[in-house]
Amino acid sequence: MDIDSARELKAQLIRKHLQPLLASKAKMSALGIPARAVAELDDVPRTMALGIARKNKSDFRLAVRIQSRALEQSPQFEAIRKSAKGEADVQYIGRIVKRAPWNQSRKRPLLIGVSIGHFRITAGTLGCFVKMRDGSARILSNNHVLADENSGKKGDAVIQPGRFDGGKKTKDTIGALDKFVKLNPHGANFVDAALSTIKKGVQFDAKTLHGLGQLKGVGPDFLDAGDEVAKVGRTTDVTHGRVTAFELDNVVVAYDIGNLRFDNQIEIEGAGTGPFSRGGDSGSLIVDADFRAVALLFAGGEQGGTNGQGLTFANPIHAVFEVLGVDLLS
Amino acid sequence: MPFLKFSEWICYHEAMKQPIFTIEAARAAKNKVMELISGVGQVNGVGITRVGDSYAVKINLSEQPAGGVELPPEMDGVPIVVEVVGKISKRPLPGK
Repeated sequence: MDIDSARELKAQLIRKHLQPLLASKAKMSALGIPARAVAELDDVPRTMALGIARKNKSDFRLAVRIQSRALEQSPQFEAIRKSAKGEADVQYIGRIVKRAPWNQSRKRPLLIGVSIGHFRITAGTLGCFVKMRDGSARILSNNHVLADENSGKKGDAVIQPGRFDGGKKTKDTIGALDKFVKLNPHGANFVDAALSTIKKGVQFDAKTLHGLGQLKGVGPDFLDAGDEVAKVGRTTDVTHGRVTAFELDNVVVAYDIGNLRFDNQIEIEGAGTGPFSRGGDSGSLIVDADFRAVALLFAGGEQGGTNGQGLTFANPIHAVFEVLGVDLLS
Repeated sequence: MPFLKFSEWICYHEAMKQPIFTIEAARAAKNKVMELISGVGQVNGVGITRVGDSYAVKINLSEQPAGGVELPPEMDGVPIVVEVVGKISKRPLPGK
């Protein structure tokens, strides 16, 4: 058939068969869609998708894409096929799901910048891989990502991806909470940091900064205002920024356990028109222009910065490594 | 001295051709500023930044202070940059 006929047929069939089907729950259940818990029911049930497929250079036919096996025996499907008079390209396509960004899905080997978290929290970012004095490897991120703001216990499951991104304790545990710097509600804090072990058999890539390059060791202890930096995070992926202030004291940061004070922090603004970070980027490793580790991202706000997109706050990486007694693994 | 945006401060100090201050001078000024403004509730961080080639003190505010509260434009000649940064929060995904 020509394209106009195909379009007309498609519109007619949607009106006559698909719209009434979607509007009637009774008709859907009559088709034998299996019973599920109310919470599992889709707002829009999976039925059929109709479109136009090319038969050859000048000829077209109706494209029927079936999303539920139960519909293959239905009177609606039969009616659609009959109406197309053999001019239908029928395919079973099943359930279509949105594709999560690379860093919000399950990643093995583990990579810097992916979604991670203590099994009770939503999700944060895997900062980098470090080694203990005995040479064993650990994952570095924030206390509020791996240790749930002091409430986690050594040995608690750490999952990748994080719970918000579909991670489950049963199948996505990649390690266990090992060590964390306790957040202090009554005095100055200097870092928000914690370590997770890496479960035997879980592979990891300690060097790749996805979308940026290769991690090249640790940067200098001193980070100046104006220095260019970048990070790979769970939410905003690769972003570039600029240090706007350092040695910041008395920074008050809102946590679930209350407002906490931080001293000796680094402040960063996003380059270009976007922010340097958003919720979910906590724990990201920040690197300088030579891809050397310089800071650990942990907080941010929605106001300020030259572009008005808010500021990000980070712990100097040397302070993090020193207090945890680790070195960068790269 | 009225409040100026961060970018306006940079322009202001560049236009005034301020002398260049070292990081040590900025650190000393920062310590004095912290003592001076310790009672201002809206202050949410005091650090060091740059204005042109000079180091400067930066004061972050959670919100614009009510009328009557004055912040110094400089300390011992070291420029002071003031910026309203709003509320600062940890950065995991919100919710529990």
